[in-house]
Amino acid sequence: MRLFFVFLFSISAFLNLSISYGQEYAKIITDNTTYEIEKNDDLIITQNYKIQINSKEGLKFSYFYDYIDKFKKLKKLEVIVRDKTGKKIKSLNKGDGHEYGFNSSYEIDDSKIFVLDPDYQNYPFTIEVTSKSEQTDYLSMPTWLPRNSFNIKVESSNLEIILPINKEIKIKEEFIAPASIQEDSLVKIIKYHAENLEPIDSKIRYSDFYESQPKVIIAPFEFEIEKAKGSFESWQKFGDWFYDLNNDTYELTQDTKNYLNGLDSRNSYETIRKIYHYMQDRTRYVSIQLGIGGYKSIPTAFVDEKGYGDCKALTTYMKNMLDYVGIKSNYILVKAGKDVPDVKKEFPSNQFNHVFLGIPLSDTVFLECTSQISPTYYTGTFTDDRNVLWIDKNKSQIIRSKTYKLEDNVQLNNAQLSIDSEGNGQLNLETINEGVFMEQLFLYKSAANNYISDYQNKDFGYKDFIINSYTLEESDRDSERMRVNFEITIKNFGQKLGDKLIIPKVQLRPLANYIDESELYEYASIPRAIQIVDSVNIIMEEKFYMNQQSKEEVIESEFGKYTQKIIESDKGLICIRSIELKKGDYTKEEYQKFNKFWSKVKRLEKKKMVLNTKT
Amino acid sequence: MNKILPIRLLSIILFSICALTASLGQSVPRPDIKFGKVSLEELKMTHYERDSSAAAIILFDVGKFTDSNITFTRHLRIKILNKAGLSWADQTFNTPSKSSFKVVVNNLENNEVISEKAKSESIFEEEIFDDFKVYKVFAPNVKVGSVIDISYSFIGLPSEWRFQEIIPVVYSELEIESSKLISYNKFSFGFEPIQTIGYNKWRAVNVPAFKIEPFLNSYKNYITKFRIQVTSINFYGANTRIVDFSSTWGKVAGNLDGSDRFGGVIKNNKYLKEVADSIGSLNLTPLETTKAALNYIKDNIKWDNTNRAFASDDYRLKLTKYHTGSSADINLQLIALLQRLGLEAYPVALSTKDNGVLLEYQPAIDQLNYVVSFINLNDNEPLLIDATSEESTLGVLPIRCINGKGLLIGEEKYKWVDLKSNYTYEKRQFTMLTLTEELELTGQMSVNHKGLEFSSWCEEQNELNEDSEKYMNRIKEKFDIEGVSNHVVSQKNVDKQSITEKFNLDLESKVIDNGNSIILFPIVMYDYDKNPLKSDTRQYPIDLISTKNYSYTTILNLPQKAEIVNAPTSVKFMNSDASANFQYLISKSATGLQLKIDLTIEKSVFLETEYVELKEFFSQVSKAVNQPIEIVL
Repeated sequence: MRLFFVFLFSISAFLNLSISYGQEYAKIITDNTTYEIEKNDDLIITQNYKIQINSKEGLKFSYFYDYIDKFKKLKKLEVIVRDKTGKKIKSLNKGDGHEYGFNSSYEIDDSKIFVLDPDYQNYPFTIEVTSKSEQTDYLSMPTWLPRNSFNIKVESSNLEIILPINKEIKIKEEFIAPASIQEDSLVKIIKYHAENLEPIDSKIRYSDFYESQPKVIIAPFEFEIEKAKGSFESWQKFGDWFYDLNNDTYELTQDTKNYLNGLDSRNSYETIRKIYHYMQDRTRYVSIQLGIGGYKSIPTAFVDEKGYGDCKALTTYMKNMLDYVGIKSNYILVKAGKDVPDVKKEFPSNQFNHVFLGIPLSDTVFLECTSQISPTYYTGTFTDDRNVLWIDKNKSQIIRSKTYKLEDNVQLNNAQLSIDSEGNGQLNLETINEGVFMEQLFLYKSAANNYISDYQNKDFGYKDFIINSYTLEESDRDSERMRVNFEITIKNFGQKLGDKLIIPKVQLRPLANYIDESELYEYASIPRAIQIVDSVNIIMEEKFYMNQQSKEEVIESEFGKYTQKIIESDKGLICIRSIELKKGDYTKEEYQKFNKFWSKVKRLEKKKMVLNTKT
Repeated sequence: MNKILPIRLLSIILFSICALTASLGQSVPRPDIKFGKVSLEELKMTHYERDSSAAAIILFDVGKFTDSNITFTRHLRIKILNKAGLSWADQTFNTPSKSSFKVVVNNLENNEVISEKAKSESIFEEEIFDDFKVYKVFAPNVKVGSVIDISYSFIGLPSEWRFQEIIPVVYSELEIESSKLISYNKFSFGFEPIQTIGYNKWRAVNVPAFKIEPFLNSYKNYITKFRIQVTSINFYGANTRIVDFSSTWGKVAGNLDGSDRFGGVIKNNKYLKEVADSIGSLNLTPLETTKAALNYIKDNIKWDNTNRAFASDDYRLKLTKYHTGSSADINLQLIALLQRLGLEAYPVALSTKDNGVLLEYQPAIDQLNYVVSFINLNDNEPLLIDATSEESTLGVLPIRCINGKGLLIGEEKYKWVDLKSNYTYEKRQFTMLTLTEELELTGQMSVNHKGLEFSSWCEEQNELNEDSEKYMNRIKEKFDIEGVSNHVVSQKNVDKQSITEKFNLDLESKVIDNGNSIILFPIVMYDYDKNPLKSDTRQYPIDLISTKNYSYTTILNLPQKAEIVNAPTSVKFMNSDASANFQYLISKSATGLQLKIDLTIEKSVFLETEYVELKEFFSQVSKAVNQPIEIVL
């Protein structure tokens, strides 16, 4: 049998970060990790590392953590604490640690975190750890990431993979020197080494940090979870495993069948909507992950009877109802969430944490089955614009999930703002959100009634104001356009100066609502293209007029376009602001260019105008 | 009695359980409610008249302790009103002993009540750590409109009974039959009325949803509830809770004093002889001696971020060998060292903010979760000391400890002391700005943070790992300002609780060329530039933690030929009891203008009835500091 290697020196579009080295909170002096695969496929992971903790900021690196569950046990642990002179302070073992199960009220699972706190703080000090854990059934193996966190330096780190000569595993190397391989008649040993990795500050997103790290990604070639055998030889084979595992015969209740029998099935889009609503109104998300339940859906009948389930169960329930009315649908496996590394297409392995549904109609439509509030065909930023695995018998493949584009992600603000001669403002604002902006719907639907007015007022930059009321317009539940009306009283919106009044040129939400600048240091990332158009009708006393020359400002670049326009009207002024930002990640020279563009925008955003009095 | 390691995590878990579970509450007069028997009205209800925004309500919550079988039984009925309320179908319960559950979900189908009993597969017992377990209930088939009945019972008493929740409670009733087997203390919290309707029987009706407001001290102090503290148990049952006997504060103090992990830590201080001798040999003044002892403790034992009133078993090793420990490991040994040095130092046991405030009429040893040192240096006012922070000194308490009163345990008696810092929020800000004829407004700013401002500043630096770039981003965001650069920190002085930082300013956005005149906004980076209070009404007191004293001076240099056309007039105002004062003085100088702004707040807590006035005060402040100046060149 062969060893399956995928040599890929990350030719994909990783950010080539030119980051300066950061503060060193801790230093890994040596780390020797072994993954040993036994004849029966059990995986033994032994770790032997020595880390020096330099300062309080690095204290967390002195803890030993391990994830454990039904299939993974921590067999042995020895921890030695040494002071800066190398003198042994104490020895600890597994009995000194604790297991914690942290789950929300809607979750239950058998996984726990094992933590050992060496309980020592005289900096610098050293922790020596020897650990051994054993995993029986597994779909994935831990990635070897020598520099596994921000602000850690690595002096020397080694990985040895030991496997019987007739076993195969999959390996993907990134930014690391090729392996040296030893073989005898019984075992094969694959060795990796990394050294002198400098610490990096947390001024980039974790996903970008992760992508640029030296690492070895490892996956079993063949695997078995509670007797269900599968293979990562190709996406197709893995897809078949998931398909078969979740393709038992499922029984719908008679009530549900009656409902489905009564549906007019001439228009698929309509039928899907009706079934989706039926599911949304009868179920809620409750996560139950026990044993193989992490991969295999609980029976549809359970969901139909109990009215709850996790993502697999709810997706399977939806799929089965669609099957019943003759609409073919497909599971889609995804790595869901924000700031997650994209699934590596060329390396079939278990890189997923969530499942949803795809339906090949004239366009492919996607259904997220865990929300009771979401419009039928809305999936949002939880699963958008990434590699996902489309599951189809013998035809599973990686596709790109729905990408929200500039024309999708629109926020329109229409406002009327009355300003009295003292500068106090009364704002009536209608905000229409589409695309990714639609996600605010979930907040408005579920927040406590004082939340928006007491806590969300960062949305508005006014210095002294009250949100008197806000109303979310109840529209068609499938509308992917939400409309909220605000009534806001703004004190001292304008500043009085003799007979003049000074007011901001931008009257609505500050830029911080759209771009999180606190995260941007040596690079800029606009994860999704967006556009915002504000139109504010300012009503002011007749005596005021604006005497400024430049009434339209436009900044345009490869990154987007910003426009500010002020037009005189019968009753006052009409102020238009529009922002268009393209999607992109910018580093080095590009970042400098972006920064230039963005600084200009920020300057314009802060401008004020003077209203003079007619004489 | 405390398990050592897990507690720091436990407090987080317990907090989230309390927040999530919502030990719920119940109508007037007591509705005739039987478990699993739901009325058509309850099922047909689509909204709650008293609160149209409620996502779910508690229709009924009745708890009863029965003496004959020493069992507490609770029956809770929840009505789901919209989809956001569905989360109330998932419940976590933390009970003192093994509990049995019954769950029935009632739905209306074709005008008929369909009741479904949950099977055991919807009820889980989950281990959070070691032997600490919770029960999780996932009520089946819950939809908008469902009425959920949950009933459970266990041996013993619950640790609290909430009459109020973050959703409205229509009817809540508690009865505790008197028993020879179990005795308890009951402490009442919150503002909603609780009626006594019989012997050891109480109820509350139509209780509004608890609203979590900004500037709120812990919600635990304000939510309407009984805290129930079992003081003795006289039976042998399975899994009964730890017994404690704190029926008076005197007994609590006695227990603390007699405990090996409290009073014993202080008294058995021979192991500190060497240290004490070496400090003693320096012949310092009492104040200097105290500082030397504090520095010794700070250098030798660092805080492990756990709040504790009792020291760990190996507290001595924690000082001499492991150099890490809880608040009790640190501060009790500080007191031991101070006493060893012959100083008059005593422990003050307290409850931190997030643990709720201590009440003088509610003795409870388990409410104590922290201890600090009290020192009397004769010629000075007695001072409190906490050695958990490297930036602490005499008279400084961390904000988490500034929470009402603490219990000082003296040699033979106890007394109450105010938990306050001798320092307040203090800030001196000095700005020098120059406007050129080309209309460039540039300058320097120096900011001196003192007292609690110093502590907050240090805390923020720690949080940002002292990364200047990240800090500058914070400043820009907080004060909504561009053009601030060259951050330099100087004169950090822990003894004086003081730090000074400097910035360069280039304030393009603060200058407007209005054709024939120039308009300037000269006040930059002012803390109360925005009104911190938003909502127009208030239910609970406003906690500002401590008093404040902010002083701000700007020297504005103008081009020589500049003529001031319009400038704000000096102004001074205060609220009705003069606890909040503001003054803005503006005067001409040889080179331009001088602006001086003083803000003092002399109360740390304002009542909800003072809210509207306080909000108006801040509104006036915001207006004053945002006033522009007009000049012609």
